[in-house]
Amino acid sequence: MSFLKLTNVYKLFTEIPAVEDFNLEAEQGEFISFLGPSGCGKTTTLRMVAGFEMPSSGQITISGKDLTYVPPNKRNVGMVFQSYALFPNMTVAENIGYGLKASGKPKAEIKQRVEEMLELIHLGNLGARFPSQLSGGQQQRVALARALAIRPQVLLLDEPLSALDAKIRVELRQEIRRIQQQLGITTIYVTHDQEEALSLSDRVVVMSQGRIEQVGTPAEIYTTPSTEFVARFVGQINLLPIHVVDQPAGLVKVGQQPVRTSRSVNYSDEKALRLAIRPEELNPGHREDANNLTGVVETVTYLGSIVRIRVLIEGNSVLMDLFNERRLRLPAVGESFELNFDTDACWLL
Amino acid sequence: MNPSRRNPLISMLWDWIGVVPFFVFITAFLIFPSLNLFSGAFKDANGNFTFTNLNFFTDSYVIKSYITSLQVSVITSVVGGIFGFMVAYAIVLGRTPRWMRNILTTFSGLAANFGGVPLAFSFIATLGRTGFITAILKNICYNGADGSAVCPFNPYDNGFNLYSLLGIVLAYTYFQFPLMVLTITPALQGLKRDWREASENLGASSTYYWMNVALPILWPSILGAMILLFGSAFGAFATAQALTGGSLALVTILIGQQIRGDVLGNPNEGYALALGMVVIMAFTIAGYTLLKRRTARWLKV
Repeated sequence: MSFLKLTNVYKLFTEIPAVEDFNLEAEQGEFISFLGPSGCGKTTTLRMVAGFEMPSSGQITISGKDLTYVPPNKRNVGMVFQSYALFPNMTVAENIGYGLKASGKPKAEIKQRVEEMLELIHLGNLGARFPSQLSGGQQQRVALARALAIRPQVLLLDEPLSALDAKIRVELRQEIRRIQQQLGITTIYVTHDQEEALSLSDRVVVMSQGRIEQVGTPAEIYTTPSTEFVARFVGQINLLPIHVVDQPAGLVKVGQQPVRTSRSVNYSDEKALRLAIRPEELNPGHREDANNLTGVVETVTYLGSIVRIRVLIEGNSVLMDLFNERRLRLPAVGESFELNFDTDACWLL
Repeated sequence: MNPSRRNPLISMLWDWIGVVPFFVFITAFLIFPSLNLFSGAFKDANGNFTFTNLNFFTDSYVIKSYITSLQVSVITSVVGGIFGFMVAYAIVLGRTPRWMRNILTTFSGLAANFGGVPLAFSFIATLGRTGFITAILKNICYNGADGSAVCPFNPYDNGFNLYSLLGIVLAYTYFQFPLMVLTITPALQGLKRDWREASENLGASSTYYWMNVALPILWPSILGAMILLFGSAFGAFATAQALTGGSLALVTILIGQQIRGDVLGNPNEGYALALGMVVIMAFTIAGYTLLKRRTARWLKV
């Protein structure tokens, strides 16, 4: 039986649906990210699990116990806020011990647990400091320790890294994953950053306009997006209009140029069909055993480790990412350019 | 001309020119009168230096006036403070409808500045001996056992007197609590929703959150607002004068009598009384600073 379960959860804000028909089952110790743009309902869903919002309908259970209408202070669910939400009038140690003190735990037990948590987040010597004396990254570690100190059944993180600079963000997300795996705690992580979601999670829930678009492992989400929204939202994607030439053989045409796909071609409306290819699946030059498309170079953009080439093919701009190797020969703008890709690297959406 | 190439002296003068009116005002109406007050407190009627004005503080009537002023100030700042905090809470954190919040905020803005003679007369018109609320209460009667009319609600038969300390407290509270609403509202707005939610999430009750997080964070602001209320009541003159006609011994009324000269007529003793008030306010503010330092260590870091 799944550990955390959301069944047919709906949330309406003055009759406007914020979350619709949300169904999810998470196993004990699983790390799940809610990924989507602002206003897609990911934070609202998280807040319903925390108990700060009541579902308009549906059920939320943890370890088989119905918590749908249980108040937040009776749920034993730890939450880390985007703003850290540390109490400014308390030291780091007092912040971490807050939940234990509120539940009437003995002083010795609180002290021991606080020390354990400080060690866990590698801030053992900063217990006496106030939050205003810490950096943003340190404050977020304390917030994490505070949420974990009460030994919650589920850990919820609401865009915990979005207020931090890029370098600290990468360091801290590795730290979060390390701690999560060390403790084996079921975790839900809300983010709009696809890199964060893909690098941290066992499974990713991609959301749009209050609904789940796709649930899957990071690899499934990236390589086989089930909707155009997921394909566009997670990573870069080229979507080219096509017309079907031979459905059973998987043969289509982009303008006048043929393309073969090894995946099945199922559709109801041909006009809505798009050929999807990731920019990194494209290679320069001609290959007999692959699909080949010819166009004209529009732009060449240097991005450090990657060079992004935009090629105009049959009236569509196609992005191609190449590793910036020393021997890489870059085409000139306006030059005729041929690219190739494997038949299993493209699919129809 | 490029500002960076301007003469540094002219540039500095240009930067300071905006605050000149402020300094002129402060000099003319605060610094100069204060110096005049301090020096006047140590002068006799002929302008000679003396300590005799300070002997005035041993007069039992003067001591009583200070005690009464302090009583009025403490009571109205505490009552107004609590009442005002509750109203501000309702406005900021309560679930009162928006129209109600707008009414309360607008009323507070008006009432906090509605003092002096108009306030005194509005109280006389409502709770004076012939005020309309008094008249309504006086006319609530029933027939007694012997058939005669019994009217038990006449406030003046039950110890109430608008022209007394109680009346002053009531009138002052009228502008004290809106003043508290205006001063504490920004502090309440500064309480982050995330703090309350984090507290709930950690298993704490609402009371625990208020006692351990919200009130300690608000404490410096509450203390500061109470000091403001204390000072506002301590220095008020016109309302008390209009309401009691000078019959109640308040320091401000006594100073007025000394300076106007119609009853007592020794301006230098008036200056000495005012100096006493300044000293009391200075001690109050020092006490506030000390208390704030002790209770809000986190503000210093």
